[in-house]
Amino acid sequence: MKRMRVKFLAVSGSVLSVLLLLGGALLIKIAGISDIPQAGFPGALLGGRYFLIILGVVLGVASTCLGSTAVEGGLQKKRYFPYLLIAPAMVFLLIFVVYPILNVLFLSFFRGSVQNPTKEFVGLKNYIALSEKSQFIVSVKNTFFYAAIFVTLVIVCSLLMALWLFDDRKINKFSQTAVFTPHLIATVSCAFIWRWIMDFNDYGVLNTVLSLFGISPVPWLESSKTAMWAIIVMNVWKNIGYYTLILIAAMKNIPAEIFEAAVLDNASRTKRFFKIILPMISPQLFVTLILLTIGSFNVFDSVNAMTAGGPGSSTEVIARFIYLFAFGNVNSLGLGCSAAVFLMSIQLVLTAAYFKLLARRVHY
Amino acid sequence: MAGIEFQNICKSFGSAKVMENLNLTIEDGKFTVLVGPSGCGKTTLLRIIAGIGPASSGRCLMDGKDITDLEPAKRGIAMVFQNYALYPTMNVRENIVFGLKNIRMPKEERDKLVNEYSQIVGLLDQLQKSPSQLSGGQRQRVALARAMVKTPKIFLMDEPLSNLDAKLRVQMRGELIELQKRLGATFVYVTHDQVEAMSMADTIVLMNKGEIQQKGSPEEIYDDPNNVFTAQFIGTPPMNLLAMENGCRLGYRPEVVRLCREHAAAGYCAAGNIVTREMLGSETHYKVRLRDGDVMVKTQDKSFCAGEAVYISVAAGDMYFFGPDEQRIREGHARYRECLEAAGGAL
Repeated sequence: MKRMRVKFLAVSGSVLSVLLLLGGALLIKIAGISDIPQAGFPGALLGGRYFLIILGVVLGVASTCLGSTAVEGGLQKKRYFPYLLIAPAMVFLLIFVVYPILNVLFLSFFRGSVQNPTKEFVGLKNYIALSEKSQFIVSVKNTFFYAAIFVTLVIVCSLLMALWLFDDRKINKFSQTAVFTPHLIATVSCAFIWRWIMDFNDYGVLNTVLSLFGISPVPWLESSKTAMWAIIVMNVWKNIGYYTLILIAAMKNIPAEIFEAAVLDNASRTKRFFKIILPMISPQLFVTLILLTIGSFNVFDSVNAMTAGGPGSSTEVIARFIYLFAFGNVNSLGLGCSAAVFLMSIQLVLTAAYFKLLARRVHY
Repeated sequence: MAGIEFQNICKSFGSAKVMENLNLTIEDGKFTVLVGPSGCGKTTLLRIIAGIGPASSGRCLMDGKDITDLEPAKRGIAMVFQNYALYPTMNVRENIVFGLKNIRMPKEERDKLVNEYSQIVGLLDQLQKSPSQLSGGQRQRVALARAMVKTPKIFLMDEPLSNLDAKLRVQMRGELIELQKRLGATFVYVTHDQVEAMSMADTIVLMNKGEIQQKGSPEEIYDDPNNVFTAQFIGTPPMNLLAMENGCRLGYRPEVVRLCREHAAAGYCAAGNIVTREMLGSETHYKVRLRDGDVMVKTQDKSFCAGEAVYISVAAGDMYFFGPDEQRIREGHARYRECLEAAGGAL
């Protein structure tokens, strides 16, 4: 009896949740995202559209949890039941992930602005315009440069750092926390700290230290030769701690006996690293690589805060291009969207390539 | 081939002392089993030999040479770990060959050795598989092959059979004994299972709380225990121990007890009731409740039943006595006669 009631609650909960999510999304579509709600029946409902979404999510999670307890009780025979339980999550993904992606793709074929996104259908003209825009081509080049150097540096540095901090010593516990701390600071704050460190004027820390050794000050952020490197250094500094922690956790998972066996097998330190540690943390390295690559192509806030794309266009990146053209210029939302579609395709292709090329070398 | 000698070994983990001034000699070419309850320091000793858990102080000699500070890889030993410690990302062949590659052995020689030893352990057709595809017994064999292929002077084994099922364990036990005889190498084998120790060892070293309780052949350990710990640790069921009025303790093995329905004419005899009866096929175990405590009786006579009132008797020569310090009181000891009389065993 009790189980039937649980099942009934779970089913009705997830159906209701799906309806709420769809209803909320529809109301947002009709009313826009920033309209002031009005009193009275339709107005109040329109104003409560975000509330409907939140309620839908809460109800969806609750009914899925409730339902999963019922599944263990033998209800898995009913084929539709599991699908019903994941329906709220699927609807949520459809509304907030799949729909925006398709919408960006759709808008990239139009000329328009945020207020009127589909002013004029232009077909592939936005893409053609992109390929001819030197600002965009420079952004793509810069982004690739940034991504290649950043990903390599972070992986190599956090591997070395993880090896260094691997042993259980008090000082290492402190060091782990210390290298992790930058991850907790907002990127914009970090950017300001590093702008101060790299300042060209007489109060820049780096130049002050260099001057002690008789080296004349370098305009780190004001020179097109060093600006991108400065941003890379800041981001590497910010990210190392996080990935070091992931890799240390992976290394700690390797049983101590395996290292002992390797020592008895005459394996040198280098051999132990390449033949035992590296293959055994390959799943975590692989995930790290994919996350870092995707993240590095999205780089925006650090660039915007440190150099705003300058000097000249030496640190312009794709995400900044999208931001400028989608929300800055007049009637160029479509151009921004087409750049966004381009960025997403790069990330998709790279991720697919990683799986194709590296998945065989990953030992699960 | 090599013997090992420990001199004044001390070992502490942090502030906890687990071993103090331990001296022990392990004979060359023998199958020596270190046995004792968990935490007694047997694995610690093994790791000192291997060099992967060095002693806090004291010396370790191999063939008379001091190896206390020698690198593990240069000691000429091979170790089989309890959980085998196979390299999970390498296949069976790579696992076996890894140690040989590291000493830069030529490929032909390597392949010959791998084929030879994987044949011995019956893994010749499994060489391309990864350890995760193998059963527990097969993994154990890979670990053995990996140890053997290095042709070490000393084999160290840390409870290598404890992860196998009972049937396989008995089978592997026999194979290990055979292997040791064939290779003639020194085997040092750690286990907490006294049956394993008794069945495999040339020499048993029985340990408790970081101290050696007794060292000897299985016969010596079983027939002539030094103290209460040895008497109780070896044998299933363990030796019966009963307190006597003079503060000493009387002990006798379950299988020397005679169960009868009448009082014996002379010697040690006690009345009691059978509490439980376990029929194991070839033998039957009875638990008999006496006035002084419970004793186990192991006999081929299955005619008694639970609840029955019985007499038990033990011959004087089968009795052991232990003093208040838990040490054995042997024949010839000052208190031996007194104990024998107190037990009622004197004629």
